[in-house]
Amino acid sequence: MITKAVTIKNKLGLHARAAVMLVNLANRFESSVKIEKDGSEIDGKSILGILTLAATQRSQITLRISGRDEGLAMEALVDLIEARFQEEE
Amino acid sequence: MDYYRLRGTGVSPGIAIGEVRLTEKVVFSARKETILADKASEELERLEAALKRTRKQLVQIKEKIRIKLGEDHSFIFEAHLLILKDKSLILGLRTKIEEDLFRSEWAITQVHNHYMTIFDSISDDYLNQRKYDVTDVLSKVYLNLQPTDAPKREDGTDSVLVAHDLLPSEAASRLSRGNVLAVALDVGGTTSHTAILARSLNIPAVMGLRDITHNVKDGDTLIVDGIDGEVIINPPLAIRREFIGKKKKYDDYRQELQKTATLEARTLDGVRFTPLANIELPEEVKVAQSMGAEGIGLFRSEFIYFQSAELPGEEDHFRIYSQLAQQAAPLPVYIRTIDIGGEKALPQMQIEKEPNPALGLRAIRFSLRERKIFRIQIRAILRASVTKNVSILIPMITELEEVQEVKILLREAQDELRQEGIAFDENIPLGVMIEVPAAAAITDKIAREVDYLSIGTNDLIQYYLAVDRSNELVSYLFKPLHPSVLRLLKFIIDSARKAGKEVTVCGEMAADPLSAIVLLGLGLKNFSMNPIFIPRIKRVLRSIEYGTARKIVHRALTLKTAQEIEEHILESVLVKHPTALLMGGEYPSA
Repeated sequence: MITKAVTIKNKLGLHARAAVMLVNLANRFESSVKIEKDGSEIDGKSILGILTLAATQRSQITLRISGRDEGLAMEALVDLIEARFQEEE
Repeated sequence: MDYYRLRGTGVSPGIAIGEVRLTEKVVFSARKETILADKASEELERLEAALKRTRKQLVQIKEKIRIKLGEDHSFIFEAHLLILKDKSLILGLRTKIEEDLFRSEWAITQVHNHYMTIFDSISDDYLNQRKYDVTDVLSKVYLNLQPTDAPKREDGTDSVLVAHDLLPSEAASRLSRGNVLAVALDVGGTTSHTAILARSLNIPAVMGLRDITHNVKDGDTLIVDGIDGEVIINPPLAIRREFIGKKKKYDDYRQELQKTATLEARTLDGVRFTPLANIELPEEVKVAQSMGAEGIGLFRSEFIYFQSAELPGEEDHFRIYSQLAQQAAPLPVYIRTIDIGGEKALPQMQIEKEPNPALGLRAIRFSLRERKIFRIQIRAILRASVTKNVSILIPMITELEEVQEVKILLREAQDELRQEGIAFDENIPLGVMIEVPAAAAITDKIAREVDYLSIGTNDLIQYYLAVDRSNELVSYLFKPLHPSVLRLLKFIIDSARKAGKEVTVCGEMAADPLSAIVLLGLGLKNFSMNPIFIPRIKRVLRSIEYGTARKIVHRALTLKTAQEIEEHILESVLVKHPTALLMGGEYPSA
């Protein structure tokens, strides 16, 4: 399992559009993806999990990924978050 | 069956008569129903089938909306599809059936309640509201548990949609189903997304009715008059007949106009004129074009400032201007920098109340004082100008010094962008609004300093005649055809022509048939107005000769009063072109 902490930088946070992108991306990998914020952990492949995580701008979240393609999955997901979900900013 | 009438704002013209459908109340069960243990797998199959049907419906509606309204609107159904296959949600439902032996209806209700509780604990407003997406999806599944039922009334027959308010996603899905005859809402106004959508889909709509949701029930008969902003509940037969007549007249008129929209904008004697649109949102570009607009003559940028609690940043501006420029390209768009201050102050700034806002810190005066805010806007417009169809328009210029200052600021912004290696249109045209009489009187001087001019007749006339037309005691003095106004307009248009600069009128005069004839006679070629008036003006100008208009105006300029002028124009037009002012009805009312 690999773990990484990231900050949500995009203005709208993990809102519906970002959540859709995140779930779609996470589902492309075999590994399990867990996201933790303030002590609660959700399934990164569940849109309801992500929405109810209520990760607004500047939230700190931790990605926990485990499985055969965990390295690739981590890289891709962190890229998406770092790229602010392609929000123009 | 009480009969009464409610007044609101007509935001999408047209008339419809139909049965009320209040926005679907969620149908979840209130009754706990269980099943026998040996029926669990059967019940699971029932759920599975409902999920499958819902999925199919969502895919269909998503595709339909993507084609009709674009990705921005269809995206929400992508989210709904993900919710529908969310593992924890599905697991929740299955567990309730398999282990708790709940009937599917009760299982869905329980799972729904569970998510409502979770979302309710989220303090972020936006995320909190996502609970309605869950409700939306689960209620669809719920309804799909009964496949054998005849199609539900709310899915089949045409009806009038009545609601307190609609979220943009709801508006997109509900209005594009093709079974909404009209919309009536408690809240909202002309520039709400629902209003824009209704206009673009030709669905009559009245908003700002305050409490219509409390005054009607499902099955009531409703007349929605989007022309005059009225809703009539349970009309007696006589009233019904009256409105059926009004509806037919309007529909015929509309059909006639749509034909006009595609015809070439030329007068009878072949002189080309250009109809342009005044709009506030990039989404309006398509509607404007379908009405015959050959560009956006005035893009009001103020709404950008009313979208959030913080001042908008360069990216907020840029996103909107880019969208606008791309939607319109290659047709021109004239972006007006903020026309704000005084009575419509920025919500984000504490500006002291002024004793005389109309004569106070407004528009370019405000921008030159708050240069940081202005700079952000200028940079964003420049960046969006890469499509080469963007012009900058400065409102409320009073003196030449302001023009020169704006040019310096513009040059600074251009230098910055060049240094940052950011592309923009090096030849972006800069124009000013002529709406302060003092500027009008030196149009010849100003015209030499700018690339084009735009006449804001509403403010110009108000300032020139010293009449506040919203003041009922003096509004009778507001006369666009006052001889002094004609002289002033003649001077402005002549000065622009002598300087070889384009000039546009973007006030209500451009949308009024008689005034438009006068403006044409004065030599004006660019008419910018609310898009719904474009077909009407095109029709009028196409049915007269430029030569006639010139002669009419020549004589009008010698007359003494507005009334004489108006009578003269009417008579002369009717003699020469008896059908020019025939509208097939008096619609749309201004």
